[in-house]
Amino acid sequence: MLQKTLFFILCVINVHCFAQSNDADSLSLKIENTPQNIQIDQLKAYLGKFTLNYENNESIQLQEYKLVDWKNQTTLHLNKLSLQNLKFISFLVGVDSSQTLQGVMEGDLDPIKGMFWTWQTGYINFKFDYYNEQETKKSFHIGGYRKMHNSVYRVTIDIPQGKKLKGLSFDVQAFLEFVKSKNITSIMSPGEKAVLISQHYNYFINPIWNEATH
Amino acid sequence: MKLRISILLLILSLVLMSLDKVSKNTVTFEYPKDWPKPTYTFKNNPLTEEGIMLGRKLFYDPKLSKDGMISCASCHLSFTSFTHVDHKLSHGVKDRIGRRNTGALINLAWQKDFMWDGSINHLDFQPLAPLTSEVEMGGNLDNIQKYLSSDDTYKSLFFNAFGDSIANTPNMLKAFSQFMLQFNSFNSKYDKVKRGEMSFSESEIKGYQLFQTHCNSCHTEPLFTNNQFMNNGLTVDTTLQDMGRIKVTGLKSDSLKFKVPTLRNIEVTYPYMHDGRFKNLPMVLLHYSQEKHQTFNIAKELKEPIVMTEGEKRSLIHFLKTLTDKEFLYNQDLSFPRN
Ligand code: HEC
Ligand code: HEC
Repeated sequence: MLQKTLFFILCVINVHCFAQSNDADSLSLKIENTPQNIQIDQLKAYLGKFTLNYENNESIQLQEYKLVDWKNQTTLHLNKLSLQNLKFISFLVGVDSSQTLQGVMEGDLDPIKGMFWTWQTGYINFKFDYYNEQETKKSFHIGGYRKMHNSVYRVTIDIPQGKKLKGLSFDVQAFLEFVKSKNITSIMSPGEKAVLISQHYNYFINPIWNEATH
Repeated sequence: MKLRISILLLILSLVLMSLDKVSKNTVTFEYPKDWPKPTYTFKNNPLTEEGIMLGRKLFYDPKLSKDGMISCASCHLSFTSFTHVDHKLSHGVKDRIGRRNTGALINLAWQKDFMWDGSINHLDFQPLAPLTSEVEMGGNLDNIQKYLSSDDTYKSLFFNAFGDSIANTPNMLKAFSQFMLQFNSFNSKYDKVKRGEMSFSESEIKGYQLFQTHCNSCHTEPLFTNNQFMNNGLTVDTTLQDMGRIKVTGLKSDSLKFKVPTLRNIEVTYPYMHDGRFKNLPMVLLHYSQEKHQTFNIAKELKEPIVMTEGEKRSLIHFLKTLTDKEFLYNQDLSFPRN
């Protein structure tokens, strides 16, 4: 009991210390392998309910959702939580049904952010719009949270020993190759295609590593 | 010294005054004792007089639409239980015809699914559909927010309701909900009979018994809906091709199912069904008492026609008319705000 309490206090102090150095919680955001012939219009996703598991088996869960904009944002801050000594980190790509049942929210979940379908309630979990060579807009809007069409998916990233997670990159080439291999040319509503893509987020969302400094 | 004290007092009173301005008058949500608990998430949006007042102004404001002509009330009229009476399919901006008949807006705090196919899962999100739909109000959230944030009356209404004069979308939606949560109907003759304040006529008693035998499994008391999706055997309209709930869930077992609507105030909410195909209650009863041509996924209670004599049908209609709640329909607090 005493041990546990002590441990808890230490953890709190720990978290607190890292809160001082303001970069300890930040993940950089990068877009990689964008083919020359396309122009990205929007590349956004809701990442939420982060779980951070540390080497000492301590685990921290965040309840909120963050709207990540790979094109216009360079860093994502995780509420001052440390990214040192992590064993793994996981997060939802998308907003789950329990959240939508809470009604309207301010901040990143505000429907005015353009990541919300009004005709059939639900957040757009992931949005990738680009212009091709012919300047035609191609849209991949992944959403849907109901049983059959649930495209809210948890991505887990294992952190190898001696490495530190520095950021999350989105691999455009990998995404385009994947949708091409499945003959998907556009998505604007919940359904099988959206579910299929959501199950493969870890093909396109990749960790960026740093050598650890501990 | 004196000067200092008076400055201090001045500051104090200013602070108190500003506090007074934001202090809101909370409203408790009241409903009959024997009713189920409402499902609306009041904890995320506590009712206040100021919030309800703002919601009422929004509900009746045509400036929220693209062409400045259409408000929520254009399709949802208070004295007809908030439906679009005598219109089969609602029409909106530039007279484009919507796909469905306007549902009555009653006792929304108990509703889990909105729209005939349940495509909207929370009351807060409901206004977004008409506000941004091309066939309804045709607007755009950024423009609406700009309009509301630049209008002095709205600025003070938003400030009073939410302590912030900037009209953000979440607060607008919360105000809409607060007003719509006032659309509560539980003072019909039926309710008064239940409370022992009135009594049914002989014909109404007969109708009530028929109702309990044939209709109550879906149009369940006291809300007169079981909040489920069912197929009551309507043939598919060949031009609209509306398959109902399946569009939302993707389940074949949901094909041709629609939300069971409440029958409260049914006397005034004609035409009936999701596409408004029946003009009056006798036609509805004719449907229920006929052989069904459309039998895929039909509810088991309705596989066989409900056999009723003409006299029984009349009694059933007499009973249905006891669900009309004049206090609700003519409630001044819900109609167009005069001031
Ligand atoms: C052009 C007509 C039109 C306008 C304008 C309109 N509605 Fe509706 N409304 C409808 C129709 C039609 C339905 C039923 C649609 C369906 O089920 O597919 C409906 C359904 C609803 C429902 C759900 C009812 C239920 O029982 O499921 C609510 C709540 C609602 N509207 C509120 C509003 C609000 C708030 C506004 C203004 C922001 C508004 N409506 C503007 C036509 C309209
Ligand atoms: C198996 C469930 C079920 C039973 C039993 C049932 N209904 Fe319905 N009722 C429905 C459904 C579902 C709808 C909506 C159908 C649609 O529009 O597609 C409906 C619609 C209606 C409507 C139109 C309401 C409106 O707002 O448009 C009326 C009136 C009605 N029913 C009356 C009755 C009466 C009277 C009985 C008994 C004789 C009855 N119903 C029995 C399921 C049922």
